[in-house]
Amino acid sequence: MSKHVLERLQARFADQVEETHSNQGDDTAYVKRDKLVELLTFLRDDAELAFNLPVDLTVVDWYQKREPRFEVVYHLYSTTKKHRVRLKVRVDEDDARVPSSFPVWPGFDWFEREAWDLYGVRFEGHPNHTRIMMWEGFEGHPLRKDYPINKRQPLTTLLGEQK
Amino acid sequence: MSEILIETEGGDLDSAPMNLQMGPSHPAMHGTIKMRVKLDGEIVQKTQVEVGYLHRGFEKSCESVTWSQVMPYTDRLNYVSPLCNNVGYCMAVEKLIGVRATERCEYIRIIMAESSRICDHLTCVGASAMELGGFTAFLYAIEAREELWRLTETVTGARLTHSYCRIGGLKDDLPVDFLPNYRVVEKKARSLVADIRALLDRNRIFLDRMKDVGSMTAERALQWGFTGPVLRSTGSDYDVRKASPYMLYDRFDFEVPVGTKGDNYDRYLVRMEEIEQSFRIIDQCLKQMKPGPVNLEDGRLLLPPKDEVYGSIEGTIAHFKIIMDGIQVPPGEVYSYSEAGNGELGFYLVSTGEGRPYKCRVRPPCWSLMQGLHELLEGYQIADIVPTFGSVNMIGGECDR
Amino acid sequence: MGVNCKINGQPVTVENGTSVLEAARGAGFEVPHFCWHPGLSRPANCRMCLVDASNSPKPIPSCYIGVAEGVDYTTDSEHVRELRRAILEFILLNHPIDCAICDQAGECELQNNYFDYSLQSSRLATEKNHKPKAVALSDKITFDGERCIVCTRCVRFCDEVAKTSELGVKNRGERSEIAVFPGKTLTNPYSMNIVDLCPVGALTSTDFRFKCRVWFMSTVESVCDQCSRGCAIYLDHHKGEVMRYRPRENRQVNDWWVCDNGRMSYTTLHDERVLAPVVREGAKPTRATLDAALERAKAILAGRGDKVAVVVSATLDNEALFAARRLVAQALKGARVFVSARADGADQDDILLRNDKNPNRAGVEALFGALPDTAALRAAVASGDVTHVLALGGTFSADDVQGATVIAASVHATEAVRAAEVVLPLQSHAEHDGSFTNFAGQVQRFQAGIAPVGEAVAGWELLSRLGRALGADLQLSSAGGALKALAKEQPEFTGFTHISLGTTGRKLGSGLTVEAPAEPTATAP
Repeated sequence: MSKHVLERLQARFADQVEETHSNQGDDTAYVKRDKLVELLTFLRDDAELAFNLPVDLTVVDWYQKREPRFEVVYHLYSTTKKHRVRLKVRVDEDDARVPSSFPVWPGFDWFEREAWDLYGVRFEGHPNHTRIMMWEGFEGHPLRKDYPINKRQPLTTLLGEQK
Repeated sequence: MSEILIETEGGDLDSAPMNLQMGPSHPAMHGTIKMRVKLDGEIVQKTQVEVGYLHRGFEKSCESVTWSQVMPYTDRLNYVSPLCNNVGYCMAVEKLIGVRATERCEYIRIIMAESSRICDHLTCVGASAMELGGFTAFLYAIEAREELWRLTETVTGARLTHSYCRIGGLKDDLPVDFLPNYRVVEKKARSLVADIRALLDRNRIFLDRMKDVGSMTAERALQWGFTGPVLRSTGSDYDVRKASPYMLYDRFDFEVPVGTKGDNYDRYLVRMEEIEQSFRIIDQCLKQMKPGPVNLEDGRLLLPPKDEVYGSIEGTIAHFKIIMDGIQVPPGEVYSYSEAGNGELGFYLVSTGEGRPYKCRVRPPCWSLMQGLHELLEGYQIADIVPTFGSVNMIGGECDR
Repeated sequence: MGVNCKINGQPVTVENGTSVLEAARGAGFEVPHFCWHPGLSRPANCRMCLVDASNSPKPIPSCYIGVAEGVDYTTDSEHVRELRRAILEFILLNHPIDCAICDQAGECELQNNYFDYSLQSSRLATEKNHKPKAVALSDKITFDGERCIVCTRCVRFCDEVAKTSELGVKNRGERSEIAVFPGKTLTNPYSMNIVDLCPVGALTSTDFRFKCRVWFMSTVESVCDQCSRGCAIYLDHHKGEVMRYRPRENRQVNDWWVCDNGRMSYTTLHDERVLAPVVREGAKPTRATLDAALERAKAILAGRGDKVAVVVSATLDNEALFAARRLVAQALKGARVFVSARADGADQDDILLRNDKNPNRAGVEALFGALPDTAALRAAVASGDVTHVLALGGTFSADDVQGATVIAASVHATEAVRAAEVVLPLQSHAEHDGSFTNFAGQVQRFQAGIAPVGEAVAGWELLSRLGRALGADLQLSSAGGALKALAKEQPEFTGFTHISLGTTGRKLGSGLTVEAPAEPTATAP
């Protein structure tokens, strides 16, 4: 649908773009995290691309299915050019961190906090790198595939139970 | 921007800012939101918004059920306009599978989604009015909503938690008497909406409370990721239905109301105008619709008719496999988006080829709105928190999932 | 000499004699079938595998016909799809609407094939045929005549694999039924394999009948521990309980089969389990914490040189045996090592059964060499050469250690274990990861399926903690780590890890010189 976005991105950041595809009409680029902020800034400021709306940021956990384990997924949109792009950054379990996109748009603020809270991926440089859904003191990152769905961490003891 | 508030700081020897916690249990905090507010007298110096009190693990739950079983979960996202969520989710799965619903199905989905949007806006405006003391407007809005809910009940079987859409179709076609019923409801609802506008549009108190309160520029709103009526009130005309028409929206003649100042009053006007536009769309749907099948003819997606399920082994097996194994969605990922009541509702689905979603991410429009909310509140008075927060229309189910 | 053909336009070369179905499968084209099974003879009675061939005007049964030179086979044309719909229509014509109550639901080949290849509505307007239901073919197998599609897999299994020929098809045509020949009983030691073979719910395990629905169960890959064959199995569990074992395909160990004894051995997993550490205070056994029990064990074992006997059981996994070896080398210097084992059976045959009823005797031999057995232990204790015994695994008897002070780590609380000074709880092989070495040297790994019972600890972990109590760090932090450490020290295990052993395991000495890469990951979307 908007392949020219991928082409332009690849032309400018050839060494950072690992692969691209446009399956199901969604233009996707796998990028490295090294120059992520610079890359996002380019996407925002370039006159042809003009990605002014940060749409979504999330993480996919490929536990025991793929290496590296995590994929940080960015969705961007341009209200002026009306095109979209999806960026994916792959990170290892042992080194699960990417640079925060906060300098580029404030609009991923809470998305990054949520990704940290639920998946345990760090966003370096985020001004308020704390949990957002879970309470401070919660152990673990619940959306990870190895966090059991029926695990409970009650804040209070139930009647009759001993802590 | 979102630093943690520190305790009292220096300043005047005899005065110090006051830290106030509003919520999460608070009559004016729609749903459950906590706001830590640092006040200098009546002025809000800084505010920190905390969400997550209604987090119920939507994504995690979706990963352990089949694709069809996710439907009731989607109802409970934006629970004031549940059909928009149903439709959005079904569109996403259908995009991933690579099918498109039938034409009649899309018309009906649009009718129901628009009527859900009307309910959403009515609730928002009504509640806003109520919090400012205009209880009558609230009751009118609720009555209009009641009419629509009664109509929705005849179509879907439930007033709020419909689970009406199916992957590849709908639960059922519209009832035979839908058109005359709708006309009655439409007349009543439109007259109530007109009454609300008559009460509020040029109401001195309403204007004083809402005008020039909670303003933001379009550029700033876009940086925060705002979409929906809040974004459009600032001057940007981004509406998914016009920018990237999905389903049959390119067949309709409707306008997208756009504000200028991005204040509460503009948001109110944008919503009221959108209600009118939604009525227009539904009208055009009803005129353009033709009889036809509502479900796709695909035995891999849709359950066989009940008499076959109970009467033949073939029907039993098909029913069994779809229910127990789940619809086999081919491996891949997709981001599907639609215009819900609050803005761009996105579904990012990841499939590994099984009957269960590997990941079912909802991009909630209110999430972006809430992270930028503090900018709408800071510098205004504490009493302004109520209408501003009300006009953002945060729905806990969608925000926290 | 290879035979060249084309399947769906793709050139394929296979060995002469390969059936078209197997050639297609090898090339990545799935051909649906009911009566064919890779471990049995070619039947061609269900006709589901019919494909088009360029050298035949009629479709050919691909499970039966060998690949011919230069022929084009089509497994996926509209004609073939129509054939499959027709075959399924016939098969389903008299099939009872039992899915709701049939155990096979969820793992039924008829359900799967109908959904994947047909989805045609029924055209039947009359009543279906009725046949006897819930017939006890034996005390282990229940037969349902209406569900049976007469594929004869069960008959052929008893003929060709078990070689006891108890089953046959009674009557003919639409009245065909599977029955036991008059005068015979279905008692061969492999009879329950026909439950797995049956593509529908006609033959079901009486033990598993109505026990648990298939989709509730989770599955792990495990290894049977009832004899030295070590058949590969699937362990199905639900809510922390093991529901059944099923055989897993392993062409190097057990093909597709498992003996009835091994299959039912899941019922013995929780027999008289040692639930918590027990320490004798005088004559009275009292429950203790693991640390306290290990302290007591230390007091019993420390500094006694060759008066200590460590008895390793041939039922322990490789990781526990390796930990025991390290423990002896680092913390119990001079201790004598003996091997204890379950008593031999007398039912060895040339199918699966072995007389040696221990899963890991070969593992003991690989790690310790030839060890003196419990008879020698008895003599040593009687003569006073050995006064203190650390028995790992409960396969020793009270007579073997009469007069010695015993620390017993065991899964089950046998009489001998109960009489020990200190009793330590071990996990059964269903509760932790590990590996066994079978009689032919095949090392297979098994996965934990259920949570540990009581306070039971895995063998390697228990011995690590005992080592720590005795002042030695065995440097083992996980079962996987234990195998990796073992692989570094023992040349026949070089390169073996739980991942590199894969689903079939590897033969001792099959020397992976470098660590094999992890199992292939899922393909990209």
